[in-house]
Amino acid sequence: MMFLFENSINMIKYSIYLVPLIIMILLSISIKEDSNRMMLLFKSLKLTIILILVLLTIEEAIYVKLNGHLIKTELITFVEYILLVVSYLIISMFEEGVKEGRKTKITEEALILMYSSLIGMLISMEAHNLITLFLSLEITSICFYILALNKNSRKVSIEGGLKYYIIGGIASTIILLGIVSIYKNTGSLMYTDILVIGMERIGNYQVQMGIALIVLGLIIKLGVAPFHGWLIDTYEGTGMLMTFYLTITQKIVTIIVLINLYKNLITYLNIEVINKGLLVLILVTLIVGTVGSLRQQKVIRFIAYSAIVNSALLILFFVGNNTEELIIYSIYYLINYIIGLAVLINIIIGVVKTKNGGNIEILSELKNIWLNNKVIGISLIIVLIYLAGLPPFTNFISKIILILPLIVEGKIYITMIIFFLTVGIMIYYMNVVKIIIIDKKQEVGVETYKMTKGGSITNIVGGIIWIIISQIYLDEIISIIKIIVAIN
Amino acid sequence: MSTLGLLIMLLGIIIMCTLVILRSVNPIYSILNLIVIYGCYASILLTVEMEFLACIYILVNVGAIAVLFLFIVMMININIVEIQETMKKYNIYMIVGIIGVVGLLGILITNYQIRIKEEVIADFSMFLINSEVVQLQATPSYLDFYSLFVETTDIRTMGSNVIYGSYSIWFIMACIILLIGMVGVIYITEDLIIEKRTLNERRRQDINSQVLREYKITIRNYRESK
Repeated sequence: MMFLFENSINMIKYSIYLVPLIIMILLSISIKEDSNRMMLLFKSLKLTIILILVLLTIEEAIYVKLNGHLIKTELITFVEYILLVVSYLIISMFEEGVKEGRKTKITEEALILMYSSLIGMLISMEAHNLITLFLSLEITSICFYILALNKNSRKVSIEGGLKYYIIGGIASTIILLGIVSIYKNTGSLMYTDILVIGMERIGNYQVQMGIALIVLGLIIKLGVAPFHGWLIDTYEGTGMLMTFYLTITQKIVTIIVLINLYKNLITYLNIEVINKGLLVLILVTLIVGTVGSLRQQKVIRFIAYSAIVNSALLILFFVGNNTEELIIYSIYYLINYIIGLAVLINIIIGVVKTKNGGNIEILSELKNIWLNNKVIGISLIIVLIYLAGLPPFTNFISKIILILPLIVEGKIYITMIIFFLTVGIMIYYMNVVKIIIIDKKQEVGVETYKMTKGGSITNIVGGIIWIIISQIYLDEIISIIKIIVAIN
Repeated sequence: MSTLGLLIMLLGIIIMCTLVILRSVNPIYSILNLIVIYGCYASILLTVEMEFLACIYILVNVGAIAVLFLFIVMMININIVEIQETMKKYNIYMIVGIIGVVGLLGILITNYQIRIKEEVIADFSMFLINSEVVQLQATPSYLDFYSLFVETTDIRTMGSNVIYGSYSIWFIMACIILLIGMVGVIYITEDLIIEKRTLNERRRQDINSQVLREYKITIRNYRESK
């Protein structure tokens, strides 16, 4: 009986990806009124995400499908939960913006593209074949190129989308070049076959070069310096909510794909070049993120630099030799970063100017926040201190436990440099706190702000509750993540 | 009818549809004739025993690319009047194209050995040399049972091993990429074209009213309404 049920789930698994896609396309061309069409698309998209979440709970947590093309472990299931919850949150924020008549720019095709990118992301996390990985990354990337065009006729939006398209195409070409190099030398595209053949010829440089090229392409997509220049302009032209979507989902997927490559190929093939090269890139990224962000005036470029710096910290597990411990702490850091960024963006989107109804766009506008509404000011300060990583908040703990294992492994100078650069990272978060409290204006003609109702307040309150509670249950949370990562 | 006659008929259909594509005013007629050309190409591939390529030709070119063109032409109100004024300029290109196609076919068939069955070669050489028709005596032919069991077509090999087996995930993802290309083209171009044409007061194009347009006005009685 369980066997029949399992076969049914295997068949349901792929139709549950494709049938909602077809339904959403039919909905977008068959309903007359714009508002009804948009609301029905939102509801169908949210229902689809709930169905996929239910499917994740029903099916086995560990499986091998299609003769090894798709392999799922507890870690991948856990991160798929995170991805789906974050996507549901962002789509709810878009829906709320459309309902309240805000300036959120979203169309039916953009919702279809968001769901298509979700399909690509879910498959790429489970992919255990290099062509399956490449095709699923291409699905996600093509959707992201199109979504980065913000449906504005501004030059900033078109420029950002075009830069994303060019750099993304180059990164995909580098990944494909690495796949071709591995295939020519080993004759297979499966991770297990590549591992067996690669271990037989341990000194062969072509497999190592292929893996290095794949990792390089993924890092370019992640936005690690010195390949970061396109990312700032892309996110500036995109808009706040779509920036949040592109930043978080790209980071989640790329980290898991890198973890899969690391656990299945890189650990056993003993590649030293990748570790040293990545160490240099991490240090360069921390320097660029610190220095470049101090001169920024726009809020969205500030968030983009924050994304770059946190990308570098997330790939620190390549540098150390203790695989599982650093992967555990990277995922813990990723969760904390997602929650901090979610609360920050909810505050920025939720705070509306009374005169023209727009959001805060320039950092100097934060000078009026404290005088007008102290609750918003306190919330902003808590979130910024949390993201900066100052004690007593748990992001400090997540950064410390990410960096400290390097001392245990004997890499003292590297750790000292990373600590120094982390202090530099804190400076630009504290710069924003300084704008809020110390630089506040005493003028009479003050721009007034109000917090909109609805989901933003719920998200902000929920995020701050997590920020407080996660200090108390620190060991329990890390233990849960440790169990999830340890099961293979 | 022999294979050579079938090939000549298919090539004739292709040439006629090419002329219709170049001369037609309505782009929907052009795309439908393009679909007929793709069908003829697939038939030619079937005659030279390339079954899988014939099916892929239908699936990709008719199922994806031609449908993509139909979607875009119907959803974006391309102004058809502009096309008609420049039709006379293409007469010279049509004549040169026809001469080029005939020349290429002659060169290919006479000088290069392309993969055609022996029946086609025999019929063609008979046609060229102008030899007398010899009445052949009937000879008994025996059915080879061994080849019936061993021989497999391209479709069976590719289908059972690649498309519907372990590698089905590649096929599904390639289809999703084509679909994303379709949706993305609509997403990117609709505002740009609307702003240029100023057809609607609203910024956003109403897909529903365009999909539900009436048959008489758009396709059948276009010239009469003009």
